Amino acid sequence: MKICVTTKDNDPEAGTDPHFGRCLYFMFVNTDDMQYEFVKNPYSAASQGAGVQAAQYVADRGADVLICSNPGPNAVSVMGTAGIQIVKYPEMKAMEAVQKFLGTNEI
Amino acid sequence: MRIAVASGKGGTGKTTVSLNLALSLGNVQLFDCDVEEPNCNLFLEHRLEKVRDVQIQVPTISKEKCDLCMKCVDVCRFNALVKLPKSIMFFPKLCHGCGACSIVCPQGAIYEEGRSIGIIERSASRSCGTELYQGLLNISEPMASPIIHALKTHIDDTQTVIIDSPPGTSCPVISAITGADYCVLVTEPTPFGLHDLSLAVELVKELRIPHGVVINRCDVGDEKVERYCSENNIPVLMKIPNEIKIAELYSQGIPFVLQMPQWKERFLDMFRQLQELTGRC
Repeated sequence: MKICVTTKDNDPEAGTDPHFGRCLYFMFVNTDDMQYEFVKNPYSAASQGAGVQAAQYVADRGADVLICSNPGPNAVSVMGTAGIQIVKYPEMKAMEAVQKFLGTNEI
Repeated sequence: MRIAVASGKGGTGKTTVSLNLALSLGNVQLFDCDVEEPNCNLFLEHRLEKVRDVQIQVPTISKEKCDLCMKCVDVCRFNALVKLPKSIMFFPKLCHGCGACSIVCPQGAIYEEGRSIGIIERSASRSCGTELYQGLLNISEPMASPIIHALKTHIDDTQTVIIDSPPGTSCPVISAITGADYCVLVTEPTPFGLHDLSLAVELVKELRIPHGVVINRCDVGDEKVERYCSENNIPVLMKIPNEIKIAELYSQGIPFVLQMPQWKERFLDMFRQLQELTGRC
């Protein structure tokens, strides 16, 4: 399974970013081997529609779960159609959020 | 002559100047282009009639014909279309109605349908001197410009036209003031007033609209607005003092020229200045 976390920096110790469409980085974690990779959000400065573009991007990369505390309504609607589960946690360290999700959900 | 009344900063007195100028002249068309919150009629209290709905054309995608080629998604400058593995999703409120998606679709899968985003209203009675037109954008709709464009199709250039613009310097303001023969910029003599005035001046210069300044509540704040105007050769058309009588009338919804006839003369003087500055009548 692939988890996407919105983060403020490209470091698993970095804080989660409460914004979705305009977050700075996405951390993708593959739960099979717990390998992670960071990608810079290409839409963080889009003039409009950052949320839907970012959502399409996250869906294209095959995420099953998104951890983000406050995604906008358009992004939520794309996630819903793409079948991506949205998990809203308060701000914490990025990898902590992944552990918390895995700890509370039997995968 | 088309006179636009604009300002960078909000709440400086655009509607005050528009209304008092309109009522001083009589027999004018007044367009309330602040379609997110039109307020001229709070003062005029005309009975209004609906003229029409304003629609923008938005795409509908046929799932049978669409082969998910993504050309529409790529061409959309406003990110209103999103491709998902099994479908294209459309976000109506991001769509500017440009029609590019239906033009590029090789499958002919996209057709356009009108979507109402607001209405246009006008004074029901034609005998009240000031003929008011106002646009009203539906609540939660983000795009004001199509309403303003639709509103301006009702301009009758055989009359004097006063356009009460929305505040700021963004798209709705550009839509409102484009085509004006003169733009009256209303400001207040404060640092905020000056800052936003200078942005508005850059805009009207870019649009090549002759312009001058009205300083409202001219006896508050400092001298910097006047210094800015003289340094930049921008005429100061009128100064309105921070007077309790004017404020009281405003709070009762009464344009002050109706009860302070000396001001009617001053607005007529300003209009004559505009006629001279533009060479129009």
